[in-house]
Amino acid sequence: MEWKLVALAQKNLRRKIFRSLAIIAAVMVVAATLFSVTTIMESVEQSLERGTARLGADLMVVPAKAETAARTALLTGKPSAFYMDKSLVARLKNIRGVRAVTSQIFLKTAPYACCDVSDLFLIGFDPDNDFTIKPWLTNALDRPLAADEVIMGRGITAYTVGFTLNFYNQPFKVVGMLEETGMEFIDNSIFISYAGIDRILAHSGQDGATPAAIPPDQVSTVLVQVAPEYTPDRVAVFIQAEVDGVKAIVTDRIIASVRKQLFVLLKSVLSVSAILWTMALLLVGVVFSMIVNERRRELGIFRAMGAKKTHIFQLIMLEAAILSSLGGIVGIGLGGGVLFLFKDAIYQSLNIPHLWPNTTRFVGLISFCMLLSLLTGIIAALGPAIRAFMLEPYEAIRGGE
Amino acid sequence: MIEVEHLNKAYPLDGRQFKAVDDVSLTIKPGEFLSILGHSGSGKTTLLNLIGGLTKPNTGTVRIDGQDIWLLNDAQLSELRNEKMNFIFQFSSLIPTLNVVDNVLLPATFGKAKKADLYASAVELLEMMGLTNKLQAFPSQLSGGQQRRVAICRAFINDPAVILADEPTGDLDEETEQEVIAMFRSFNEKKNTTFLIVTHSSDLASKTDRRFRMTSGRLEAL
Repeated sequence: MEWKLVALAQKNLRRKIFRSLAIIAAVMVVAATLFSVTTIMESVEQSLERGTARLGADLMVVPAKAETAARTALLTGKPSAFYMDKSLVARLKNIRGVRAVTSQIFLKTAPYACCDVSDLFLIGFDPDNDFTIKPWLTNALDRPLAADEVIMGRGITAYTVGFTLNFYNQPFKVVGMLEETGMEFIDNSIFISYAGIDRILAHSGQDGATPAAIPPDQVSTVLVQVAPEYTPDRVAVFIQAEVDGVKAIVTDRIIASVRKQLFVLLKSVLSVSAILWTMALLLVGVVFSMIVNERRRELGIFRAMGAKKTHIFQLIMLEAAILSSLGGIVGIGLGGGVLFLFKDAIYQSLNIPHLWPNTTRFVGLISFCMLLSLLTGIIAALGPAIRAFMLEPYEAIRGGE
Repeated sequence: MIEVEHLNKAYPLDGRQFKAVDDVSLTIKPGEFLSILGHSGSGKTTLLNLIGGLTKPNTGTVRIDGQDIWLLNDAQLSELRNEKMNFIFQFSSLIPTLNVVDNVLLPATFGKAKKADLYASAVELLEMMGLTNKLQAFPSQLSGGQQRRVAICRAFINDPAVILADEPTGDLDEETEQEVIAMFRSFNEKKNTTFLIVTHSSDLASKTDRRFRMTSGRLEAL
């Protein structure tokens, strides 16, 4: 590419500034829409992937009647309490295809009268066989969690390691925090050992404090790791065949169902994006056809002055590339800005887990949207550029008369 | 040396072929100063563009320094135009987005020459044409005569061996016309530049060394 041509292209574009701005605006709308939609999709995907990885389990066994509540809790973090008999843990351990099990018990924190942090999941877990919490601690905890200690999700920003929190009038020291997942079920929960739960149960309701009501010898969920030679779906079938009254939720399926739900939600937005892209293609194509027609004589003069056919082709394509790139940059900036400013409102209205993409994924998304913006200009201007390429110099000069 | 042999060019017009150039043969030696006289529609502009390689003949050949220009590929022919010849068109041929200096330097945009190297020559040529105070002006800020003078400066910027000029003094007043012809003569004598001027003006033609007349596509020596 010759820089002399780039300078010439820039000067040409400044000639019809409103026309150039119209092309930039058309590509900008496409880039902004595409960038914001793909970023939302990516953040949900990333959150679900990381969240289910953090869950550390292939299956989540819950009471059959609580399946919907469990799914909602998992995806939105909305606290709810459901229980099943603790003896199921031993039964599940012996089912074909099960490699490891661990149980958890959910307690919803009550309003501020009892608890420093209200209306969230207080999740009791068994430190002896846990494989879901401790591997994801951001700080190492090389000893069992004591009865007066808790681990916090990353979403509870008011407190950090070293703080002491009160639940049901019992003090608990924060000794660890989990990495962020974007799933509120994990990020906005507090994890406590079974001994800690027993401590709450032993003292709650005393001295006028709100009682914590958990039936004795119950658990809320059993998390299952599947042996490598089995698929989670197959083991889920085994569990449901052998144990009545439970539902084995395949955690990978949650991703698939949310993806489907998200796709339905964003389908209309994607359709609008596709329409906008087609319109932008047509607009840029028509404008560049006009440009080539208007500048026939000028292109003929360039040829007379020694421009090769390839120079003419490059010049038209350069002009298209410059405008569409500018449209892409402005669009990505605009889409990203709107998303950043209103991300909480957007994600709350969609009611889905999300995790702002990391730098690598962001760079990927920006590159993808820039490439598509650039391609919009290049594809649209290809026809007019080829027409200009084919023009015979004298024909071009006469055509402009 | 330019050698034109049995050149023919016809255009479709109103459902039939219109012969713009009809079996023209012509030899122009280096440094010649000649003109082709003819009325509008006589085919003289078409002949000029055929010689300049801007349009392909139906039959016949154009050789420049022994090379049949229509045997060259597009890149080679473009380089030939960029390095060995230049044009003065009868219409306003300045690029509206470029200022006066950049218009004069236009051939450098497409050739090997660097604009910076030719800048001093461009300014010198514009001074000769009395346009020193218009270097940064855009074509829309110039009169028709000034635009024509800028186009003439552009024709000389790449120091061409051949200048093909189509009604070069069309928009100029008599005094400027005399200056332009004097400038052509000066280049012709100092640099041995070949000039082929097509015009409908007998007066302008009378100032050239060799004259031809074009009538209905046919060329005859005067």
